[in-house]
Amino acid sequence: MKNFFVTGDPMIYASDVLIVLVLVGIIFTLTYFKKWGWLWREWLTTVDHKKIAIMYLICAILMLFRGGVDAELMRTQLAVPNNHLLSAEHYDQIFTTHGTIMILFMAMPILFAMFNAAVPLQIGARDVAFPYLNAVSFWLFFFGALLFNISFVIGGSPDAGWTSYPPLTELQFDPGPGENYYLLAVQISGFGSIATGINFMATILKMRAPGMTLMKMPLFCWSVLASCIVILFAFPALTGALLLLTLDRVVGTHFFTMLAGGNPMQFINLFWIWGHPEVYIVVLPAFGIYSEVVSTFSSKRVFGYKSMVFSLMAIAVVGYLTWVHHFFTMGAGADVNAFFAISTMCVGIPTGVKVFNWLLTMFRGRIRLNLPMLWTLGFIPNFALAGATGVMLAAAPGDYQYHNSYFLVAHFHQALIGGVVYGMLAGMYYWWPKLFGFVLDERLGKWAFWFFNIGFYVCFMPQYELGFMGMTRRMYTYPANMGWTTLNFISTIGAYLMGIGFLFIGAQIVYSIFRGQRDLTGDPWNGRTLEWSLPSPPPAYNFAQIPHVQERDEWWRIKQAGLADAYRKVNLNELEPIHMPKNSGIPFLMGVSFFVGGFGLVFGWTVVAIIGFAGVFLCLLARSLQEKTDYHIPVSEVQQTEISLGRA
Amino acid sequence: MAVMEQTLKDLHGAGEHRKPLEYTHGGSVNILGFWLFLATDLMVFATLFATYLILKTHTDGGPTAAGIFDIPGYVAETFILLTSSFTCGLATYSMRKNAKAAALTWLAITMALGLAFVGLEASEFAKDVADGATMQRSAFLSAFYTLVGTHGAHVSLGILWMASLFFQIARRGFDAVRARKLFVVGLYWHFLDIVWVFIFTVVYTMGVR
Amino acid sequence: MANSAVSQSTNLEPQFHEEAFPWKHIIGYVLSLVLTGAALWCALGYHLRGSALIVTILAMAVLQIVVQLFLFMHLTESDGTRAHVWTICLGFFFTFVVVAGTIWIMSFGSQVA
Repeated sequence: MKNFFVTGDPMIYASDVLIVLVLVGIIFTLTYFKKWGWLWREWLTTVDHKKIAIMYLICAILMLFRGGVDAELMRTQLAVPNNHLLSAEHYDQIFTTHGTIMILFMAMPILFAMFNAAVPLQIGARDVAFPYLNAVSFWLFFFGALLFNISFVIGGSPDAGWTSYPPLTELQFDPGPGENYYLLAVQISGFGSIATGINFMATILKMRAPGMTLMKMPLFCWSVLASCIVILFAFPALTGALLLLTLDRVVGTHFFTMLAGGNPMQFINLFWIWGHPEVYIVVLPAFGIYSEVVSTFSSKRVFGYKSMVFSLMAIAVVGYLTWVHHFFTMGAGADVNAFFAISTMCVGIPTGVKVFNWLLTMFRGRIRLNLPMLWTLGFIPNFALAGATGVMLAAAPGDYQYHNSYFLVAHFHQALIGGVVYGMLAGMYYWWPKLFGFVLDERLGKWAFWFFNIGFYVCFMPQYELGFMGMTRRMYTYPANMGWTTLNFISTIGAYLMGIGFLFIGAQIVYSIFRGQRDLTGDPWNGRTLEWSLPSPPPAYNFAQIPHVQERDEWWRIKQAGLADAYRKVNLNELEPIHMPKNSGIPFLMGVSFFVGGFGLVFGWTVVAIIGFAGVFLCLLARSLQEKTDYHIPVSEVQQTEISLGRA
Repeated sequence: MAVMEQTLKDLHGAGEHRKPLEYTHGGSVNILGFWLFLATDLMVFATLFATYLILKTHTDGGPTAAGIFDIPGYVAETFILLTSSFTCGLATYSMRKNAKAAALTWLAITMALGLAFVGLEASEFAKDVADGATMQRSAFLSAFYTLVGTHGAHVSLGILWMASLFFQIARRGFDAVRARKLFVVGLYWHFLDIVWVFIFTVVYTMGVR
Repeated sequence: MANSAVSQSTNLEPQFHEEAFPWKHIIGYVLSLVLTGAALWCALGYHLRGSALIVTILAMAVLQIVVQLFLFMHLTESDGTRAHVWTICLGFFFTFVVVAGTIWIMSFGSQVA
C-alpha cells in the first residue's frame, strides 16, 4: 500500500490537485444545476448512435490532449542535449502512455465516433444493428481508458513502450502495477472494439434501406466495412497476446520468459498480427472520409467508385499479410523476410490507386476550400511521403539500418498523423454540423490547420534526418557532440506549433458553441448522401419514413431532379409507429464492473477482482432475462417531432 | 436487439413465412452477428493454437506430450463432446417442430454430457498437476493448459448459458426470441465441437504419436 | 439482403418445413463418429506415420468441420446465407494465415528445442 499513490514528482502533485479540482467542479456543477438525472437518462443509459458518437468524440479529444501533453513533454526533454527535465523513469512512462493512448484511446474512439455519426444515417437506418451492444462497446472503451489513465497517479504508469515487449515486461524485470494496467486496460477496451466491429459489419450487411445495394453504398460505409473485417480478424490476436502475457505475470506461466522454454518473440509475432492490421483499421475509414469530402467539395461524383471499393478490400486483406516487417531484424530467414517485404510493398499499389482517384475527382471540379477539404488536401502530400518512406522501410535489408531509429518514428507519425488524424479531423469538421446543429468556425479552424500542418513538417522532417544520423527511438537524452542538437531543437519547435494548432481547435469548438453558424437546412456542405437529407441534428429515430434508394449519390440525385423540398416534407398521414430500442443502464454498470475487476487484478487483490467479474456476469444474466427491450414511438409523437422540425 | 429490422423487412417485402421461427422478427440479424462473433472467437483459438504449435517441443526437460496425455481419457472426452453436439442439434430440431418437452429433454442431455466432458477434463488436469506437470513447469505445459483450458472454459460457459435458457423456455415456451436464443447457443456448442476436433487432432492425437 | 419481390402473403405465421425425421442430424453424428474412429485407427493403430499421418488426420478434421457446419449449424439455410458463408470462409482463411504463418515465421534456427 505504501506505493499506492505515485509520489515524489512535482508535476504529478500538480496533476493530482488538478484532477481533484476538476472532479469537484463537475460534481458541484451537476448538483447545482440539478443535472444528475439528465446525465443518467440522456447520456449514461443512451443507446442512440448519435449520442454515442458524441461521447466517443469528447473522449477522443480529451485523450488527444493527454497524449499531446505527453508528446510535448518528450519533445521538451529532447530539445537540448544532456537534459534532465524529466527523470529517465518518467520519460519511459511518458513515451509508453503517449503511444498507447494515441493508438488505442484516441484513434480508436475517434474512429468509432465517425462510424456512429455517419453509418446509420448514410445507409438510411434508424440505428445500428445492435444498439445495446453499441453502448456496451462504448462503456468498455471508456472504463478501459479510465483504468489506463489513473495509472499515472495510482500505482505508476506502464513504462515498457506501447508495444510492451517481453522479456522486459515479465514480472521479474518490471514488477510494478504499471504493466498490469496496460494489459488489462487494453484488453477491456479491446473487447469493446471487437464488439463494435461485429456491430457495424452486421449493420452494413443487414440494415441498409431498400434499394441500397452494396454497390450503391457511400464509400465511407465501404471503408467501415473493410475496417470492420480487419477488426474481426486482427483484434483477437491482441486479445490472445495480452492474455498470455497476463498469465505470465499473474499466474507464472512461461510463454514469453527466457526460462523454462518460453519464447519472447512469439509475443512480438502475435502483437504485430494485430498491430499491423491495426494501422489499416484506423486508416481505411480515413480513406472513406477523404472520398466523401473530396467528392462533396469538388461537387463531382467520386472518380473510379468500383476501383475505390476494390482497393479498400485489397488493402484490408493484403495489409493483413505484412506483419513481419515490424521485426525483420529477428532474422527469421531470407524467405520469410522476402515474402513480407514484397507483400508490404504490394499494399502501396491499391493505396496509389486511391490517391490518383482522389486527384482525378478534384480534376476540373468546382473546389471549395472549407475545413474538411483543407485537411484532405493537407493529407495527400503527407501520405505520399509516408508511403515513400514506408517502401524504404519495407526493403528488408535496408530495414536493418532504419530499424527503431528516428527515421521509423518520423515515418509512422507521418502515416498516422498525416493519414489518420487529418482524416478524422476532416470527418469531424464534415459531420460536426450533423451531430450538433452548428458549423465550426472557419477562421479559427484555418489558423488551427496552418499551425498544425506547418508544425507537423517542422517537427517530423528533421526526425528522418536524425534517424539517418543514428538517433534511436525511445532515447532519453543524448550528448552534445553528436551533431543532433540543431535538428532536435527544430523538431521541438514544430511540436509546439502543433500544440498551438490543437489549442486553436479547442478555442474554435468553444467559440462555435456560442457563435457558430447554425445549420438550419441540414445540408450545410451541399452534400450528396442521405445524411444531408435529414435535419441537423436528426430526431432520435433519424428517418420518419425509411427512404427507397435509387442511386449511389441519392441525395444529390434528388436535388438535381428538383425534388429536395418535396422530399423534406413528410406526409403526416402516412406515418407509422416507429420501433426503437429502449435505453439501458446495464452497459454502464457492466463497464463499472469491468473497471473494478480490472483494478483488482492490477494490484492482485483477488476479492476485488472476483467482485468485479461477478458483476459482469450479473449484467449479462440481467440482460438475458430482460423481456421488453424495445418500444414503439406513437404516430402522434412522430408527427409532433416532424412538425417542430419544420418538415411537415 | 435488432429491433428496427422488422420495419426494414416489411419494406423489403421479404416473406417472413418462408423462414424458421428463429430467423423472424429481427432474429436473422442476431444470427449473423453471432456468426461474426464466432469468427473472432475462432481467431482467439488460432492464436492459442499457433502458440501451442511453436512451443510444444519446449518442454525444458519436464513432462512431454506423449508422457502425460491419457489416451482413453481424451478419446472418451471426444466421443462425449461429439454426442453432445448431436443432442444439441436435436434440441434445435425439436424446437423447429415446436416440441417443447423434447427440446428441453435434449437440452438437458446436452448439458449433462457437457458436464461429464468438463469433469473428465478437470480430473485429467488434476492428475497431471499432481504428477508435477503444472502450467508453470514449462512453456509446453503453459501452452497446453491455456489452449485446452480456454476451450474447457468456453464449454463451462456454454453449460451456464444453456441452463439459463432451459428455465426461460420451460417458463415461456417457444416464441421468436427464445427460438433465436436456442439456435444461437446451438451454434456456439457446435463451434466448440469444431475447436475440439482440432484439439483432438493437433494436440492429442499428434501428441501421443 | 436484396430487395426480393416475394409475393405478399397474408399468413404471417412462420411455416418452415423441417424434415419429418432428423435424418440430417443422424447422418452427421454417424459421420463424425466414423471420422473420429478412422483418425484414431490411423494414429493409434500405427497404420500411418510421418507426414502421411498428419495429412490424413488433418483431412479428417476438416471433413468433420464440414459435417458440423452443414448438417448441424445450418450454414446454408434461410436468409443471410452468403454473409454467413463469407464470414466462416474468411475466418478459416485468417486462421490458416495465423497458424501456418506463425509456424513458418517462428521456425527459424533458435526454435529447435
